[in-house]
Amino acid sequence: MEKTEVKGKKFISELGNLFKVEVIRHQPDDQITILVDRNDLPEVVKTLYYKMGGWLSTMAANDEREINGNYAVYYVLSMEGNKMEEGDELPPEEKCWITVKALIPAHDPVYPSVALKVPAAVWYEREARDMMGLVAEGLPDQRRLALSDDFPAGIYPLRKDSIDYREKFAPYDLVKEPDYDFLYPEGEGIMDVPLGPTHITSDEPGHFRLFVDGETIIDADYKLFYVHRGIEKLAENRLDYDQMAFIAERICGICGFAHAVSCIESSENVTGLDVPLRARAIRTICLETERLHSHLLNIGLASEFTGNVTAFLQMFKIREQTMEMAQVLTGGRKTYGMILTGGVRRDITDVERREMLKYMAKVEADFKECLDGVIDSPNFLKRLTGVGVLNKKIARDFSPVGPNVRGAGFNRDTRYDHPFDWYKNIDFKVPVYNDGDVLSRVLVRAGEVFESISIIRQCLELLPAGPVMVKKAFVEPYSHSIGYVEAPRGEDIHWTMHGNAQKVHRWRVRASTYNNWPSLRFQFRGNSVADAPLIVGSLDPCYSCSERVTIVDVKKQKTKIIQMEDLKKYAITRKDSPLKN
Amino acid sequence: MKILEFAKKEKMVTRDFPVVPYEVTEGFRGKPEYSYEKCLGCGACAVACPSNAITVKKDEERGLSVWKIDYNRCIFCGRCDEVCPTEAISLSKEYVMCVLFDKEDLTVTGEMKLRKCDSCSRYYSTERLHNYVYNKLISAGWDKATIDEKAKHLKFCPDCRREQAINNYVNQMTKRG
Repeated sequence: MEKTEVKGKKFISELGNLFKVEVIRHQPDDQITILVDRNDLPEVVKTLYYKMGGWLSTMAANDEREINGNYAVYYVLSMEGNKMEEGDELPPEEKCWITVKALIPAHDPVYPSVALKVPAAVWYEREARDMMGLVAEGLPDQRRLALSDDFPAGIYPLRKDSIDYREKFAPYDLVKEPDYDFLYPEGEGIMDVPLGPTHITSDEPGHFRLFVDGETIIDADYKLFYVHRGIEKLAENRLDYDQMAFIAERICGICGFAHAVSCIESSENVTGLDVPLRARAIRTICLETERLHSHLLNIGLASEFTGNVTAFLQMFKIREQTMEMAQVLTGGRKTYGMILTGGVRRDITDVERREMLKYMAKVEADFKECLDGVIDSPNFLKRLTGVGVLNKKIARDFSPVGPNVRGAGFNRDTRYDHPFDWYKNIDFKVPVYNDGDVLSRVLVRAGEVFESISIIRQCLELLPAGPVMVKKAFVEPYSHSIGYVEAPRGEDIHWTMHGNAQKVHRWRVRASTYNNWPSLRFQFRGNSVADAPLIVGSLDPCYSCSERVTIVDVKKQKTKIIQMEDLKKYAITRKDSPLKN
Repeated sequence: MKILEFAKKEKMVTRDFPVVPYEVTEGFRGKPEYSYEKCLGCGACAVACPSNAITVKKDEERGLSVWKIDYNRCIFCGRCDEVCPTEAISLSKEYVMCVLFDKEDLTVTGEMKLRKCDSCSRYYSTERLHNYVYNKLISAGWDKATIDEKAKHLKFCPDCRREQAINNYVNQMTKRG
């Protein structure tokens, strides 16, 4: 325990020389919460971020008026080192999570914006303004992020006293919905290409505006959150921890298990619950199974966008085996319904273990061969190389996660930086590619498929004996902590503050893609319109087909609607541009 | 071209789905099946259900307890199966859930007679649950006097039972002085 005591103390004492900081919580060993004055907030976060090698993982705004009469903001930083070049990172025993807390008085809900110093905070602060009514003073982008444009002003949904559940709102006339204020660039002959608003290449409806000069995208802006479901509010003081795991799974259709683990571990971390090793190993196996089918889907889709539908279908054939593997493991085709506080609900029998190993061998052999076939195609390589480049410096500023950041030359991986569950006992590599383009991201995913197979094998071989569930402990009211998981798309963080009655007080979900969106704008720049679906796809948001695309000629005041089929065809063949006439 | 070679290796993997059903593995968690005969109406499943697919409601007018599962809400997690004392609800291997036109076809209901409290004559539990507990007491193998003594408490609702317990305690205390 002596060693863990030191964890993070170094940073706190260094900070203490510059600012007035107070450690208010140190639970579990690698999570420290410090309280600072709200005026010091930007400087403290900046120092931690750039000088000490932190990455912004999440920010939670919280209504604490019933506890101490104030609102509060929590900036959670993952201390890992700058990682700008190889070896430039903290030693494993110094890696930790630092949460910077600042109280904001209820009568004056204003705090200085951190986003001016650390750009990664921009979305978080916009959301805090929408949901909690906390205004970040100096934030350049004051538009709404999460709330829809026609949401009544002055209602902040996540405040505890905002909405009476019994109240029924009158249906709103949708014609009145105001236009979203996109950030139009200035210049001659710039066209405005909306992708969306209901679907583009992703399941999650998002409205993208691409500003093009000829065929080249010069800038992009986007409005998302069309499917904000209010799960955070739903859980507050209503669901108990057993129910929360099941609703957390429904956040995402693909990395649902990662959300469930993250949510449940945030409540386990706060009590220091000793989850049995066997349960931890089974969680690890499920997480990796999920990663397998997610990555196989994405590699398949990358082929589809470049016109290689055969490869896409072959990838799906392999993916089907991983789904069946999940069925053997959990009883459902997805790894859902497995987890509860204190362990997992289902043990692995020896027969299942052997069956899993059989599946693993088949998936590995098939994937190796299929990947050879995909990479072999010169068309594929040509389309993916140098497209959607994520600049290293921009990546450092915006804290992206997952294959997106690993493709840009950073070895950021929660499994490696902050080993959770059973990853401590397992030997694995973090595939990193330096080019930052779509190809690098595909290669990172391909490398991770092999790593996942190896991790599952190790887990199955070393599976410890023992129980899979322990009784849950009493959660102290108003304590808080985070749960962290490396989902297929990157780091997935759930911050929870626990209320009385053994229910959650505030639940902040930060899905992986949330951290990848803000830097997408820079990835679009300089690419052709035909590559836009590919670039969005390489972030791996969940896919679907796009309904339509509208082309607006700003100068001629003309609007043209292009069917998605046409754009897709254009993305594949790159002939007969739909932008002509 | 390598990809075509790979594709050729295996014959067709697509199944003729609705005609040839998809074979699920052992231990598959499918649609929960309800057995009315075994159900006691205890409501343990309704408490455990995370998505509120199972509800148990009291119908005071008709003197019935209405158990209902709505498969539209069900997530096949199997929490109900875990807690059911009589295996009245258990997961099957069924997974196809199609109905024509009427959503109500995706619900299953069971109605059980409620029992009145002997003291305040309010409904408090189902007849079946009462009988189940009574039979359990008998199977414990006590003599008749002990069973009668213990079964006395079964006939009252929780409120009355609490009141009686307090009265008994007070009486004992006052007797002792």
